[in-house]
Amino acid sequence: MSGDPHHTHHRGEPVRLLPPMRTYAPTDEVDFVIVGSGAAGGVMARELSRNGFSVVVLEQGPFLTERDFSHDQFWGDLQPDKALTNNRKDQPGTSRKTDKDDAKISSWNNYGRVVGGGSVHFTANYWRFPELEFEQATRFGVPDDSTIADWPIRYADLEPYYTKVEWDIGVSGLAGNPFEPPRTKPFPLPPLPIKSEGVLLERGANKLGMHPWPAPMAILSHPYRGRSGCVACGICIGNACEVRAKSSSLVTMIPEAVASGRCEIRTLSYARKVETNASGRVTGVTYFDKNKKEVLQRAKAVVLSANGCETPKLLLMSATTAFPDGLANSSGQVGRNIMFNGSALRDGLFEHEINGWKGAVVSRVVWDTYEMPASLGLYGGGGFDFRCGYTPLNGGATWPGEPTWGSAWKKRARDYFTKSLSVYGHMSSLPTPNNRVDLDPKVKDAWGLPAPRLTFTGHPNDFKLGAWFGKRGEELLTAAGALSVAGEYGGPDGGGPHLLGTCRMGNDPRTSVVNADHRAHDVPNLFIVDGSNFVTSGRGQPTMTIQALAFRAADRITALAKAKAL
Amino acid sequence: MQRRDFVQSMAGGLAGALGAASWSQLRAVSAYAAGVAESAPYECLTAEQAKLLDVVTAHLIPTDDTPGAREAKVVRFIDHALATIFKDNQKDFAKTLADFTEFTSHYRPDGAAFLALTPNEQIDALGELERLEPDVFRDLRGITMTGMFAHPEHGGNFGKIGWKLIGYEDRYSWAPPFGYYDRGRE
Repeated sequence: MSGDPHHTHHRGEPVRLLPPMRTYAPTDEVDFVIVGSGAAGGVMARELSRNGFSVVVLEQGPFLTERDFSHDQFWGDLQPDKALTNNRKDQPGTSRKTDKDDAKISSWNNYGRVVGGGSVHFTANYWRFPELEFEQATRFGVPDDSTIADWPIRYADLEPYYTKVEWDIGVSGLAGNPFEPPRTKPFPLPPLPIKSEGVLLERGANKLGMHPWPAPMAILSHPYRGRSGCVACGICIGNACEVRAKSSSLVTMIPEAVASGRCEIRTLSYARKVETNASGRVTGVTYFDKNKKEVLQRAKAVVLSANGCETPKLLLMSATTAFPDGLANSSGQVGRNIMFNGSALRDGLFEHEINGWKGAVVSRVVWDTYEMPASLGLYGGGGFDFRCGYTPLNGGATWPGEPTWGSAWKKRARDYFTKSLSVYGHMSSLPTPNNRVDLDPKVKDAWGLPAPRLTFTGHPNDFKLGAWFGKRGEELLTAAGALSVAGEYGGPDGGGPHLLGTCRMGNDPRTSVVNADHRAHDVPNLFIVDGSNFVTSGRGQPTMTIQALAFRAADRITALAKAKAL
Repeated sequence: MQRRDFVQSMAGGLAGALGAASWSQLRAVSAYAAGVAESAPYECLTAEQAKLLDVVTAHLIPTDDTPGAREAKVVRFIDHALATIFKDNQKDFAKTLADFTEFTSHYRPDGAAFLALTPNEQIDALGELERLEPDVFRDLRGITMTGMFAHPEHGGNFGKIGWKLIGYEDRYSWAPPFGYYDRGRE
């Protein structure tokens, strides 16, 4: 295995991947240690190092590249615990519904555990949040048993950074979606080609008076900035791109951070404690190296971009007598308000071949449901796509009411594989005070650290929202001409890769963990930049906003550092 | 998550539930050539288990006017997978086989073993298993389908028989139109 970012091995031959990388000794006091190299950590590493700061990025996983990736489905994270994601055997999670229940081992937390994090295998839906997302408490009120609040920033504060994401990493799409908030620049790349799923979504949506639009995707429709355009291989969701067309941190931000000559990506390095001194400032991060030996990397400031599960876990593990409830947790909000988004799914079987196993996953979206009519009494909203999640390992798919094996199934297997698709409703989730991640008192991981424990019960509104989206999804399938519609799933997800809200951003130190500069209210030289900052969940696709926040945070932190105000 | 659509449509329970293979294990497994000799010893299965699985998988995906599980070498896949990527699930799979044997031994009043039943009785017994012991059936079906559709480097899907059945081609580079409905839109 690599872990050495200079070289990898291809069929036994060493291959140089990156320009020589600057390295630091743990005793060097670098300007920043960043924990995590994913969607947010990659942006922070690139921006801070290019702004002149010395940076060490601690990444749990290895440094893989396209030479290591494979079309073999056992590699991707369609299979849990494989090459690209956290291995739950070594790092179990536990979960329970309420405080009264005993938590059991569970795979609720899914994250990328390689350089580039989850962006290496993501689906690449890059939806901007609508303007209303940032001011929902003011506009729609606060439902019972929800902690939903306004963000301390507005869409206008983030717009330049959404644009920066699109141009700096490469996002394909078409400006003009009537439900997209105002933008200052067009997309740098035209949309990916429409697929049969997209044509069918157009057909269904047009019949229902909705507005289908080319999907904004962080996948290159054409070569861009030295990377290949998408070749429509189809081994996409849950898998790593072999032609560098998927705009992951691995192929966008990380190489540019390394090229700055000021950034070290230190792999197989699992952070276990953020260290603090007597004056309550952070002094570095202690991590397990690849030999499970503890190492302290000293730093003038620390940025946590470890994801909405690992970041609060690390803060809670960093308790001291001065910070008895965990670092940066005087509010008691670290780990709280966890949101996963919600899903509503139905399957449709059509007359002709769709072949969704070719190409990127999504080519058209419908956002008419970003804001729901007040008459429905539903809080939040979401959007739809049609997709065929099938990869060849799904060749054994069945259809309800039809044979599942034998010659009768064999005769239909090709139809199930090539002529079916799913309508996918992506939805918001409400934060609640008790939905949270904390440290399991009993279960430990292979390093002896506590397992992250989830306590989660979906808000009643989100079940209603899921039911509505499921019904609407059926209508879209039927209007698109589906011969048969199956499935009935809709509601809040109780886990997954969207790990949001656990170190929320806000102006009030009593109810939030970081301020609008991503600075911990309690610790002046500690910053948190990842999905944990979300005050609300968005309409289903968080990564675009995670990166826009990161670009903005990097500007803010740079300004503070240059003003000697860290 | 690998969201529900994928989990639900996965070839079956075992494929999703089995295994916590590491990157290095995966690396090792890819050295396994698809063309294992017919007479090669099994790595994990007993001869009896292999014989039973040969018959069961051939009922699940029979050889009819197109090749089936036998030609795809699904049993070789199962054997090799249990020795490698599904290593941690050997016990679970042994239990599945034991449950299967127990269930099917009650099919005929004389307690005949599954392999002693006539082919029609075997098919009927599998149908009963699907109805009454869906978890056991799902595990057997799941690993059979995984052997049929996984990359041939794992020892099954021999000659890409599984992929041909479902109309999948591993060309890994496509241009529109991808399907029927997007013709004329490229």
